Amino acid sequence: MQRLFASRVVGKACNRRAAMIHANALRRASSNAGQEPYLKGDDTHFGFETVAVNEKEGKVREVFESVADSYDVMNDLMSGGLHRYWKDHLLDISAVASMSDAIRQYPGKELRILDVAGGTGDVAFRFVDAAQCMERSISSGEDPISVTVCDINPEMLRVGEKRARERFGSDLIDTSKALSFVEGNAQSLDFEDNSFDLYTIAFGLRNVTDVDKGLREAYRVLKPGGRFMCLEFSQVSDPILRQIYDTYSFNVIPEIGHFVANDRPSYQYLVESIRKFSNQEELVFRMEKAGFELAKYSNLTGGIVAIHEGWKPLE
Amino acid sequence: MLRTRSSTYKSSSPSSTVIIHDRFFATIADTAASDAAAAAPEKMSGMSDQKRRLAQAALQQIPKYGWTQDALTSAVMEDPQMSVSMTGLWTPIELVNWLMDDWNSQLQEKQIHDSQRMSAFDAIQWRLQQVIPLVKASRWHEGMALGLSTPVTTRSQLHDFVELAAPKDATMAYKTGLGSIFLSTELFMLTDSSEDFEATWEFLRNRLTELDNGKMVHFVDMNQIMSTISTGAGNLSSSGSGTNVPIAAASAIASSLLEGAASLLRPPTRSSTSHRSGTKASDYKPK
Repeated sequence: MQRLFASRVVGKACNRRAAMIHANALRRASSNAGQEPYLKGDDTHFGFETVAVNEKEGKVREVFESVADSYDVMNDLMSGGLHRYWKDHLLDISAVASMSDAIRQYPGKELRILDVAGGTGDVAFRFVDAAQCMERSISSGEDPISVTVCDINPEMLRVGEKRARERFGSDLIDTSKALSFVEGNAQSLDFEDNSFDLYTIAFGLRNVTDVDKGLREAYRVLKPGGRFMCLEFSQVSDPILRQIYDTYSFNVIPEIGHFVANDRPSYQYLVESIRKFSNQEELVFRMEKAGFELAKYSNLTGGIVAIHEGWKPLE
Repeated sequence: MLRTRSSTYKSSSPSSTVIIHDRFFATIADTAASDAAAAAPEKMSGMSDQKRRLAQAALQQIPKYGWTQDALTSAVMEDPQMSVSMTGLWTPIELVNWLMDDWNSQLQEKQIHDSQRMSAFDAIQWRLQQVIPLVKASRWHEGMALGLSTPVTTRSQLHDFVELAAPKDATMAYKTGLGSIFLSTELFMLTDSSEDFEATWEFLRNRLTELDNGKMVHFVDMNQIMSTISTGAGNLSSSGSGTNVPIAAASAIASSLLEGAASLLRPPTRSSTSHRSGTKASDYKPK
C-alpha cells in the first residue's frame, strides 16, 4: 500500500518532469553552480551552522553515534516509510538482481559492490537478498558476489553487523564473505583503485565534508565501466510541495527526534543538512568534474530525493 | 496504384527542423527521466559510444530474454570489453525508445535526398522490415506495449515517422491516414504467417490504394489519433459518419488493440529463463 502510494506520488511527479527539466536546463545554463569547489576557505556548513572544515567530520560523527540505534526506526517515522520505497527503487535500477544471476552463470566472474555510508546495512541487505547470497552461503567457498559496507562511524557499523548476523546468520560474513563491514572515510577510502563494479551511497553524500573529494574517491575505486549511484535528499522544485515539505521537515522531524530518540539537535541537523546540500544539477556538474560520464539523475517523490548515477569510462 | 510524389519536390522541408525539435524535448521528458545530460546535446564520449554498442548487442538477446534487464546484462556479459554494471546504461523501455529513434534517424538519412525519396509504401515497408526479426521471435508486441508506457515519446516518434514517410506535398489528412495505415499494418504483421510477410505487404498496398483513391477521412486529425493512442480513451468511429470506413476503422482498431497490448502484453521486467515454472512432481499427487 505504501509502495502504491509512493508510486502515485512519483507518477504525478513524472508529469511535471518535462517542464521541470526544461527549467533546470535553463537554470543550468545561467548558473555556475557546481563550478566552484565544494569547500572554499576554512569554513563549511554543518546544518545551518558554520563550522571549521576540520570540525565537521567530528560533528557529523557525533550525530550518527547518537542516532545509530534508532536510525532505521527514525527513518520510518520521518519519511512515513518512504525511505523503504526509495531504497527499493535504488535496488531496482541498480540491476543487482539481473547482474547477480548472470555472474553466477559465468564461472570466474565477480561482482563487487561497495555501499558507502551504509552503516546499518539497510541498502546492503537489499543487495544481499537480490543477489541470493544467503542461498549461496550454504555452498562452500567464497561468494563471487560481495557487498562491502563502509562507514566512517563504528557505532553504525556495529548496529549493521549485529543486524546482519541476526538476519542472515554468520556464514555470510565469516565464510562466504558475501557481506563485510569496513570502517572508512568516503574522502579517503582504504580500497585499491579499480576494485568495485558498483558504488552506492544512500543518504550519505551530504554528510561528507568535501563532496568533490568523495566523488573523486568513488571514481578511483570503481573499475572502468563501473557505476556510481547516489540516493540523496535533494531540492523540491514544485513550490506547493516544497512548502508542505519544509513545514513538515522543520517542525515535525525535530519533534519526532525529540520524543522518540530524545535527541532534537541531531534531527535538526539532518533537516538542515538537506537544505545546504547541492541541488540536482549541481551534483551532476560535480560528478562530471570528478570524471563520471553520462551523469544524470532521476527525481523521486517530486525531488524530495534524487538518484544520481554516472559511469567511469572504460580505459 | 500508388502515386509517387517524391520526385516533384526538390527543396528540403522546414518540417525536418520541427521533427528534431519535437524529438529532442520528448526525449528529455520521457526517457531520461530527468536525464540532465539530455538538457544539453549529449556530448560524445567513450561511454556514449559504449551505450550505443550495448543497445545493438542487446537486440540480439531480445528473442531469448524478451525486453528485460537480463537481455541487457547478457549482452554485457558476452562482450569481453564491457563491465557488468554497464547493464544499467539502459532500461528496457529506454531501449525500445532508442530503437524507434534509431529507425527514424536511419529513415531520415535515406530520405535526405529528394531525388531518391522513397514512396510511402517503400518507407513503411522498410520500417516494418526492421522489426521482422523481433516479430518472428514473438517479441515485437511486447516492444510495442513497452513503447506505449512512454506515450509522449512514442507519439512524437510516430509523428516523426509519418513526416518522413509521407510524400512532401502530403496534406495533414493524408498524413493522418498514413499514420493509421502504418499502425494497423504493424498490428496486421504481428499475426501474419505468410511467407516473407506477403500478406502484410498486400494489406499495406491495399490500404494505401484506398488512401490514394480518396477513401479517407478528412476530419480525423493526426493529433486525435495520437491522443487516442496515448490515452486509449478515444473512439474515433464516433467522431464521424459515413465515408470514414477504412481509415477510422483502422485507427480505431489500432488504438484499441494497442491499448490492449499495453495492458495485457507488457512483458515482465525480468526474464523467466532462470525461473521456469514447468510441471512439478507435486502436480501428480492424487487428489
